[in-house]
Amino acid sequence: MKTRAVTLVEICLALTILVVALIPLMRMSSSDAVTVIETEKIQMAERILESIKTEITAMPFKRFYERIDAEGTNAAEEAGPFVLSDGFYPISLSEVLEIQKKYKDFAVVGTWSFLLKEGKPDKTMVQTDISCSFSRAGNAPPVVRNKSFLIVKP
Amino acid sequence: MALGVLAVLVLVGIAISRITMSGRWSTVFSSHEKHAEECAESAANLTFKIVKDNMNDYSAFWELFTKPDKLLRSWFMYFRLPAPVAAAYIDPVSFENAKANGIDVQLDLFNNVLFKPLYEDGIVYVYDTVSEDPEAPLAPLKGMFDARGGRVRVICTARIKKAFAILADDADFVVGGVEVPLRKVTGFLGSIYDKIKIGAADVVSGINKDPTGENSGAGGFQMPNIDVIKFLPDTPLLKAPDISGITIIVQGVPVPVGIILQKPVDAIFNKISSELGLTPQKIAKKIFGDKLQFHIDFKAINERIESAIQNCIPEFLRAFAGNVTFDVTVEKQGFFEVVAEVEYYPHYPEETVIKKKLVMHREFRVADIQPIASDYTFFIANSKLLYEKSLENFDNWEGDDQIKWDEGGGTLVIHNMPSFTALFDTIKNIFSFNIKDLARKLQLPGLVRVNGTKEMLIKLTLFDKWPFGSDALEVFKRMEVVALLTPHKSDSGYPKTACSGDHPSEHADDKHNVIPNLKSVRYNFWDKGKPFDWPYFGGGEPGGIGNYWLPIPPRFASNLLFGHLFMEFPFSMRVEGYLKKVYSHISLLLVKIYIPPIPIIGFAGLDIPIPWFWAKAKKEPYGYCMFPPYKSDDEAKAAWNPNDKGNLPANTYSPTQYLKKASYFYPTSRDFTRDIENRVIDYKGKRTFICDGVTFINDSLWLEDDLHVMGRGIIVAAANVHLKGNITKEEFDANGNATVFSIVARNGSIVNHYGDREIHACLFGDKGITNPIGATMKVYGNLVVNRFSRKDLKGDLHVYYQSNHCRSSLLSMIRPVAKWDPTRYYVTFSAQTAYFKFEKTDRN
Repeated sequence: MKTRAVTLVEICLALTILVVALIPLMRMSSSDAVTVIETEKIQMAERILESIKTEITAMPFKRFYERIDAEGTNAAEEAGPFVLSDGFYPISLSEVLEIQKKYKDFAVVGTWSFLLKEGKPDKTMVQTDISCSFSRAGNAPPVVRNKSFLIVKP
Repeated sequence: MALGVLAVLVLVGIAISRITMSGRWSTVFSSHEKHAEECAESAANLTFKIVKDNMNDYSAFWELFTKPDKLLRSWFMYFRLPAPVAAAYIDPVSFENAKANGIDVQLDLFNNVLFKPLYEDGIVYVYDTVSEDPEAPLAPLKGMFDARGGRVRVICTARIKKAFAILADDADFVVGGVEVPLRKVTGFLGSIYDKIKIGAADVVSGINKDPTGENSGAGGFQMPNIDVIKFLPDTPLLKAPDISGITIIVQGVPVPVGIILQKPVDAIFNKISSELGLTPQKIAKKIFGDKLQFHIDFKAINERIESAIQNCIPEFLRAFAGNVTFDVTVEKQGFFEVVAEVEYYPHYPEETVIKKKLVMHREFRVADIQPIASDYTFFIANSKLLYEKSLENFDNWEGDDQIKWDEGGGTLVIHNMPSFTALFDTIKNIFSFNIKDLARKLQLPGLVRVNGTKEMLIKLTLFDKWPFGSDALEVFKRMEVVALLTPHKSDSGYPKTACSGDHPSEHADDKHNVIPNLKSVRYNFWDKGKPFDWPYFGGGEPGGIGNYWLPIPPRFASNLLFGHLFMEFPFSMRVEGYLKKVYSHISLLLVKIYIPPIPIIGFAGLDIPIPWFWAKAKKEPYGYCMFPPYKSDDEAKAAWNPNDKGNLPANTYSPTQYLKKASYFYPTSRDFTRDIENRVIDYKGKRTFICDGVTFINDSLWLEDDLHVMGRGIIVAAANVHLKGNITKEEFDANGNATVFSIVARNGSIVNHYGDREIHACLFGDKGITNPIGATMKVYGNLVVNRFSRKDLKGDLHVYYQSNHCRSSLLSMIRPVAKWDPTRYYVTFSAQTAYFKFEKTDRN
């Protein structure tokens, strides 16, 4: 029985098909690696947001008043928003700094404000809005995770 | 084959691409879910706040109580609805002893047809960002809901999920006035407190009979128009004795020394009288000021209070009037539930919707904060029934002590009226006050009670030293001569039998003569003379023969249960107790012994005048002679028996009950002190401690510094309360509600440490009260003790009754409905969330 050899043309064709197929697969794989990192960052962001929430909720409510006093008399008349400074969440902040060692683009910002009741600030209720963001590869817009919650004076 | 390989690779590529797409979609979707959850959580938290802001709004009660439908749906009333103890209505008697521990006794919230829908449906708040209502309670969340775009619709349902009774561990322990009816108030004024007219019928809650017979509960006794002139005549208490008839024989010649001496004696007494103003009226004006009025129309006061109270109880509570048993309770603890259901349309008007249902529970407590024995200025329980467990009564004290009022030092002054100014302002305003102000501002005198079956003697005070010098006014304030000035009969002709028999004049309807006089007799040392009665000024003990009288103020511990000048009388005009006042019955005789003439030596005869001053202590029922507290000793022995549950001080809960209903618990006094800063606010420029609900300290409480308080609450210490600073109070909060603040040493004493002290609080000390020598302690509120040892009081103690700071409202004083007064309960939420879960939504 005569065995048929593989021709060079066939080999070239097969290689071409393989290369054509592998290029997008390789690109996809590379994209997946980026996604994994993004996912990890998202998880970290969620964890940080939850941690900040827990920390602020457990904080004595009078800290908000102290912050207003520190900002001057005009601030006392306003509902906000006021910047949620690092001092509100020292424990979570140390976590953020730890993450920033690895991912320098990881950022946390937040504001807080008194809720308006009948058009006037009700100083027994504080709305806190926190954002955790990090950049993405290429020209993609940064990823932003938000958390809003209400704190009521006990 | 090539085509096959290509196809497989394409499929793999598509699959990976879809996975990535799906991951992205799920990331976006989960972000929306998170937002919906955040909305639900914020709405639930705001709902808790709405409930919290309204559940103690006393102002709302007064504005709403005429609108039963609205009142019933207000958070204030919602928590204060009476609830039957589950199964208690089936067999209350066996049930009462069936539970060793009250904590697991659930309340039946669904037995009353009127209240059932409230508990089942709760109160619902709806908010929708599309059809928004700026007035809606949840409207403050608008900014948060709008921030993410789309539409948010939220429905919050708030209700009591479960409630339990707050019962004592020992089924035999009862709370006076809440679980058992109290004894009727003594005297004619008692019916103000003991009965209420519901429709045409009188509902009466007092048990046993009034030992004076006046408060029969059925009315009939005519309220008197008290004329203070009868207590305070403008006639001098000291008159120059008539000595004009006194003659003595000198050398056989009668010499009219009386005529010679009368003028200078008159001059001396006139001088004393004009300088000191020694008439009861003048003294009273010096002490109480020009506000002192002379007529108190108790009939008018009674009618006004009665008419106000009739309109003061919401209609749906009237059925409970007169029910003073354990099986229906307003106090409760349990779990309050808020269910927040959110529909979030992220791309509204697209119909894609994310639904979330959050269930949150928090513990709540509805605690009675009415001070103990709130209608009394001073109450001595003297009863072992106030102990729940044998450990509390470690020395097996049997109660019913015979109090030795002479022991100790200093002066105990019970000011049953905060001031005459306040009292008469009240009388003046009683017809112009609206119901809300009447309930919150009306000042009434307090009552006084000393439980016991044994006769106890209290010496009346005249002067504890001579009233000369700069502190003369202080000496006059302690003068109790007014106790002897009223006659032994009243205008109504009602028999005042208790004073007869032991009365020196031997006429039951006569009054004591308090004007000293001198009688000259010859030889007869046993002559009755022209005796007079003074507050105790020597004469030994009642029942003795008396002794020679020297006008030197005697030293003994004074007890002024009728306040200064015996004029700050209790509301019932009596002290409820088997007490007797001790006074001195004094005879001033000039006994002349004639020495006959001895002609041999030229002696013509001589009278030797011997001043024979004799004092004898006597006793009568304590108080004004016109208003004796009992008709006979036998009735007195039975009336205030400390082993009778009806004689317990009202609203005294067991230590376990205080513990169960505490909103704040501290293992030690140090923990409490550390936490004070967290419970203090700046109010009107003062650091003010907000006392709301019950604070329990499982230890002795040491109040090391001054404390300024506001609110409605009780601090309960398991053992002693040591006072090393003053306690002051903010009279009213920003909404005009009076501060009602108590300190309870549940199994200990109230101990004042060295130094003068002002305490604005209602005090309870199970083991009594201690005040060191030289210290003046002033209590503004009331004072209730179980055991009382007078010798523990060595310094002065003043108790100033402040009616409107001792009660939550006027309604809480009226015994048939006191338990149902919604204003006496304070509601608190636990700061911790007991349950937090997103559940499957059942709304379509």
